[in-house]
Amino acid sequence: MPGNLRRLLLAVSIVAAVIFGSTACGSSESGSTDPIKAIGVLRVGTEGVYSPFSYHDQKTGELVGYDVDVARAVGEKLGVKVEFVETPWDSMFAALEADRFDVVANEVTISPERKAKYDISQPYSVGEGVIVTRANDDSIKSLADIKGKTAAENATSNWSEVARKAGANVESVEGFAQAITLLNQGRVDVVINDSIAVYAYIAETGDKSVKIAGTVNEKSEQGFAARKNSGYLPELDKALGELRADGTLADISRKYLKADATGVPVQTPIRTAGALRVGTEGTYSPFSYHDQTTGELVGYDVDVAKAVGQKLGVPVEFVETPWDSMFAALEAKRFDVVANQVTISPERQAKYDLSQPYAVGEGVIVTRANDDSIKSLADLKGKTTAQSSTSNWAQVARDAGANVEAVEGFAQAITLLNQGRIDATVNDSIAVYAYLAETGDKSVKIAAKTDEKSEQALAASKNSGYLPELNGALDELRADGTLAKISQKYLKADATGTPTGAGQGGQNAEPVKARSGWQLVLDNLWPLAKAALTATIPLTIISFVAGLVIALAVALARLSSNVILSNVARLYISVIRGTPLLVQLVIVFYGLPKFGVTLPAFTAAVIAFSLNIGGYAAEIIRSAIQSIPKGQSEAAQTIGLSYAGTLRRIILPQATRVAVPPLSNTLISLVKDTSLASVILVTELFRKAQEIGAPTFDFFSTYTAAAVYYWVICLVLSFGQSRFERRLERYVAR
Amino acid sequence: MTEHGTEEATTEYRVTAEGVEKAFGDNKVLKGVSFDVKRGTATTIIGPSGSGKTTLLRALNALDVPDTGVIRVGEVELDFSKPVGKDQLRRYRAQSGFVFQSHNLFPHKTVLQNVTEGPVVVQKRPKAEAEADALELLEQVGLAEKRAQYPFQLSGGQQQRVGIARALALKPKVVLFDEPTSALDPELVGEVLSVIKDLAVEGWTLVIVTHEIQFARQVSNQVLFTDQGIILEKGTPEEVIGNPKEERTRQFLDRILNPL
Repeated sequence: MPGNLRRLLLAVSIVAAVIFGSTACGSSESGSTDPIKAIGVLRVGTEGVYSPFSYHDQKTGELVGYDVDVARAVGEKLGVKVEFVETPWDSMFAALEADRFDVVANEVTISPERKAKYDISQPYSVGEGVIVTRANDDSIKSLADIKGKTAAENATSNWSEVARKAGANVESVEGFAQAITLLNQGRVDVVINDSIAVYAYIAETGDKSVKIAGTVNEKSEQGFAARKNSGYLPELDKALGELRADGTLADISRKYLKADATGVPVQTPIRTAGALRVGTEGTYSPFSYHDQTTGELVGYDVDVAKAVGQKLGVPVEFVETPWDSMFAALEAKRFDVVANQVTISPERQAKYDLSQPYAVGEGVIVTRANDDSIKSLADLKGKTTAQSSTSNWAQVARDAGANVEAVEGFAQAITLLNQGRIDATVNDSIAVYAYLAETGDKSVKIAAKTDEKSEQALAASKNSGYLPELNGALDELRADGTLAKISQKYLKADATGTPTGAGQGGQNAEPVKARSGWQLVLDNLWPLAKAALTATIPLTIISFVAGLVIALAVALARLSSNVILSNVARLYISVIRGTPLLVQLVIVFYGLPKFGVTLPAFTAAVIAFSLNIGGYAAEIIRSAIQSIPKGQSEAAQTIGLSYAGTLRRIILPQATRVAVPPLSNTLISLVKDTSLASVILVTELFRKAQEIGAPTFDFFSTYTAAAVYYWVICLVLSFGQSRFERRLERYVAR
Repeated sequence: MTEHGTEEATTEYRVTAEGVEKAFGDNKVLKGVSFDVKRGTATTIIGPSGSGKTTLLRALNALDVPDTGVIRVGEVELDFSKPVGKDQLRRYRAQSGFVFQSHNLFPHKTVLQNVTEGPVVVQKRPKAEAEADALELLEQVGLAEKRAQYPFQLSGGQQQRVGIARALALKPKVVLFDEPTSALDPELVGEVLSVIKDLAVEGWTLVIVTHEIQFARQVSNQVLFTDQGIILEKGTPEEVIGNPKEERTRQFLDRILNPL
């Protein structure tokens, strides 16, 4: 489903269109009543590699797919020939502008941005949020049922927010495929995503182990895109209307998605206005927070809402509400509008009345303050940037020719930038302004902008009727400079989207209320300690003990005169020592479920670490056993001890003394290696530090605190080791 | 301890070896060795280095399992022309005590624990009783006051005497000594030999591999002279040491008694 990435690529295409497409200007047809019929041919741009929407049949090689078939049916209705022009998505809109074809049929999601730039037909596919569960799970039938369940969602998608608002615990995953994997393994209960993506997945894979259990009231609509003022829309919409009416659309949908995704276009009627109660977080600096000195609720969004109220001549009443329940409260009529940096998205637009934007973020390129080599997107070519791999910005940077380092978020990107490991990072200007205003970081600067925008608006309930008033007030505030003033006040930059050319002032900002790294660490000493006590230490102890048992068995097998046994042990040691621990971990966690063994993350970690210790310690124990003189076992034999008795009473006690120093090494390594369990979602010390550091940008102090904890654990172990060694050496001449 | 020598008929042999052969790879170390040891007697095995005397002693305890032949200690007999099981081996070994050239005491156990290990763990005797017996044995070898010390705290001669006590603690039918004084400083040899002499006087059945010819002469009822994997000559000390029939025996004794 075209999501963030697609929208971003659109933006890139627009840039390309501006550069390459000037020749196409003026070629648009107008005046003719039926321009398509007049031409007699409909040229359709489509990818041809986007199954099941536009792709080549493996047997016949023919171009087929949902969008292709819809385009063909439209041509039939219009009585014109349809010609397909296969074009990569990246250059689709540039090609459209260049008149290489007349319409795009490639799951183009309808958005206000696109509507402004192109002629968009009525939708022929409508996605809605759907709740996916395991096929045998009947406990979830609607959004209300996911309260307390665990959902897997892409952290940057709005589905993640939907799930969280519904009261689910959300595990962050990288994408739909990983989410479905976790669902199938029973590690999560539910995945919320766009129905078309889900239909496509089920149609493609035939996966019968999951099902669509319910729907979420969020829609995304896909239509044909034509050049602005093409004059094609009446014909296209009429044909689509007929195809919808005669069931052709639904047939095509069922053919490719095994489901009807043709939907019904969203209606937007308007009612009359009411009083202005505003929902806002109150804890989201610098947008909505309490002034430290006066205690008054202030911030960018708060001030905008106040100004809107003033313009409308109504009192503004603020209702402070946590973000998680913001939209639930809106729907429960606890307040009328949300003023809390609500980003405009097609999904939200489908669900809420969104005003015109009052804060517009744009893609900005952040570099080190002393780096003058980057002045535009084009200068990124050959440079290294750090981006969240799931964000649009990664694609923007890549398209500009930059090498992209994948990072977890903006905070980490800024850290790498400051450390000189990368040259730049591309992100939303508002996030950057907020970062600069909060931290007062003077070592980085905004060096250039991209053309990608994210817009924040007031949100009201669907069909509230507030939009004319809200938009009117915002228009006035923008015109009289109030909006820009508010933005300057809180972001030290103009983020209102007005073309003033300002907005470079961020690096001169004074820190507003930066929390010191020391305070951050102090606040999180206990959470970190708890993670160490409940995860890191138990993980280490259990894995080490289990590992030693395995190691002893393997060592004895290795020393056995039985050739098969000793070779099996040899192979085990070779495999364990010859493969990365990280790989062993992910195999146990992600691989075993393929064979029907689904383990909780902690158990999976224990197993992987135990097997690993088993392999390494086996060699230590073997060499320790072999270091005991043969005379010892002979003497044990002559007094009648059995093999087991000899081992237990004579050999192992002496071997222990030899093995303790190297085994202590292994144990201390294990303490630190448990941090790898963070990749399989065990919230141990390191993952906790990541969680704490992420929202504050301060990784140095949180990671340092984590490092100190690891060090303390190892210090204690080293102390224990030397005491134990002293005890074991009581029978040795010194 | 004299009861060990008198509880059975005096005519019975305590140890018997018949046609014992043992090779290590291509090296045939024992080429068919047969002899008997009467109970309550001491037998010493002498002979040049590499003549097979240590291997013979280890074969008697089945520490080195013979390739063929029959060995018997007390009532337990092993016939190596047939396959021999692990349990059989353990039962056989339980009949004899073994004293190593390099003592092989358990370094992580105290003197007392070294002696009681067999009785308590193998013979499952009550700990108190085993300790009382062990103390008696340590008394006998003159080391009762060292009972709480670890082997590394003892001199070589003391360590060897603990080794002897450990071997005696299982009340074996025969005690086998593998060059018990070879690894000792000369001034420590006497204390060990005198302990062994006492055992012979008390009526223990002993088989001793040794280079101490004078000791062999004083203590033995029977002397075996081994050479190149066979017993070249056997008899009383007077016969074998005092008046050897074989030229090889004479040469050996001459070299030992007049080293310069």
